[in-house]
Amino acid sequence: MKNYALEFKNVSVIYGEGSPFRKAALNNITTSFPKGEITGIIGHTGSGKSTLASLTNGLIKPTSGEVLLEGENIWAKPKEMIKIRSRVGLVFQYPEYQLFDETVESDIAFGPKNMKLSDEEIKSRVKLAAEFCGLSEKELKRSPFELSGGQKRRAAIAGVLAMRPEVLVLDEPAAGLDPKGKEEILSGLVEYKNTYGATLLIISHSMEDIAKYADEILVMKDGDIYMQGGVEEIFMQAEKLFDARLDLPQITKLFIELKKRELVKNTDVYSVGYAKKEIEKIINAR
Amino acid sequence: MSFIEARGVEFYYSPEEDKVIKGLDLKIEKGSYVAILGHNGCGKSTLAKLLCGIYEPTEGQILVDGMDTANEELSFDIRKKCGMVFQNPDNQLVASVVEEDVAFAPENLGYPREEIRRRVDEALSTVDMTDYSKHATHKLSGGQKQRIAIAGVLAMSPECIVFDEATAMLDPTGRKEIVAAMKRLNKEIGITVVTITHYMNEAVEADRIVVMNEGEIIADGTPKEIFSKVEELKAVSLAVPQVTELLYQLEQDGFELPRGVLHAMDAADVLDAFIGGQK
Repeated sequence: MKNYALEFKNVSVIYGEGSPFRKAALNNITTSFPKGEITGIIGHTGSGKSTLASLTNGLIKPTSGEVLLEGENIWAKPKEMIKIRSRVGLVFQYPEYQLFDETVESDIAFGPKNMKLSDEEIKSRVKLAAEFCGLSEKELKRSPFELSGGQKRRAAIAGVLAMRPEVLVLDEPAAGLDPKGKEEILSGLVEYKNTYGATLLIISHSMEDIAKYADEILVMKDGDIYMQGGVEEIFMQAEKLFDARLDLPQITKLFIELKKRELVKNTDVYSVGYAKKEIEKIINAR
Repeated sequence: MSFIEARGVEFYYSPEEDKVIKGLDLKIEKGSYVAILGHNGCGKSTLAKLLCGIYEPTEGQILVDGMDTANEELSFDIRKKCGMVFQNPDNQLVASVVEEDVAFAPENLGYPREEIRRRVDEALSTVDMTDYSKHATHKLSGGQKQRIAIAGVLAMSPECIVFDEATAMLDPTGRKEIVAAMKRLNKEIGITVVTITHYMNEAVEADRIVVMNEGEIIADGTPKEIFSKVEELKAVSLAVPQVTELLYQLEQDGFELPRGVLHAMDAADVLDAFIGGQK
């Protein structure tokens, strides 16, 4: 049986309860996130992804239901929520708008400082977090406002990594970045996960990125959990994904077409590397 | 004469900083559909704002339909000719009701009531949002909000619209809606479309791609030509669509496959023919 770092039990979030503007953002959802794995969360705009993210470290309270971290309800002791927030790191969309300190170094150190760690420990954590995010010593000394967009994003994510959370929730960490910057940030996050055995939840609109980095996929639709399962299991159900306003990676579309033409047998192809192997197998078999 | 002409344009935000645009020459023809690619910080967004006259070049000159963007007296005329749609759907709507938002520009331009009505209806119909004219703007999806932002620009009857990463914050369906709208504006109404994007699958829809690096144009051609240059693109932190990459990698392994194949269907045809030919 799998171990779960984070679980949701019958969680509903209703905004404006009792008013004419009542809106259920999440409808009684139950789900869990396997420890040490990356769960990719996909879903149309307004499907409840960001509400789900805000629940993970107690930024909002469920209207009903429970959020469990390592089996314990995070709202059991509301006064100790600050501890939960250093265990579950949340990176919002466009986190670079939240940079505030004079240097990148002190901005990254803000979280660990609030955790009342020793100066030595803070220093080493800042250095490591910067490494995971690909920031150089030189950049640490600069003002965050002098950096380019991509570097600012790295600095903001490093600020959360420096708290060394066991669960890391990222809302579109690579949106608006060029292909190389995207690749560097996402592989840095995987490295963090592998180093500390952390559990990652990554929200994304890019099917290609989710296919490449996620172990499991959670699909949201209109405040409900629409599908959850392994990458193959989810991307096999193309029609269902289209119904949820989603898409398939381009390479998967190619293989679906090749299967229609009876050139290949399988369509569980999500990466260019694997696609190449499959095609070469077919060519060599001729 | 081209619709937009940039001649030896240089630009910096402050004299102490490096130049963001370095001696750039660019002509954009009337009715064309141009995608601009480049890594973060290469100067794409700055160029977009220069082309619409939001920024003035530090050196050189930009002409929009023959009007110099540095001439302040012409700035209103230039903005009317060349509108812009930005990245974040949540910070470019000004009214709480869809049709009021779209009416904002024609109201400010002082058109009579009937003319405003006509323009709003026409703009909403072009982006396929007529049914939503009385809806609250904050309740729309991201793609719908962006379509309202486009309608707001259309209500000024521009000849050109510049999209600055207008799809970056949208879900896959929202992205398709916006790309479809761009195509329709270009092919059916003849509006000049300039789009800046990090999605290679969107850039392939344009007729022409301009690649920027460190404030300069390093490549300019059709999508097929540009995406044939896989190594060059990678060298400037860019990528090619997945199927283009697949055929390129197979070619590197010694298989004779064409470059610059952009769509899944075309790639299927190419592979079908190739595997068939191996029999």
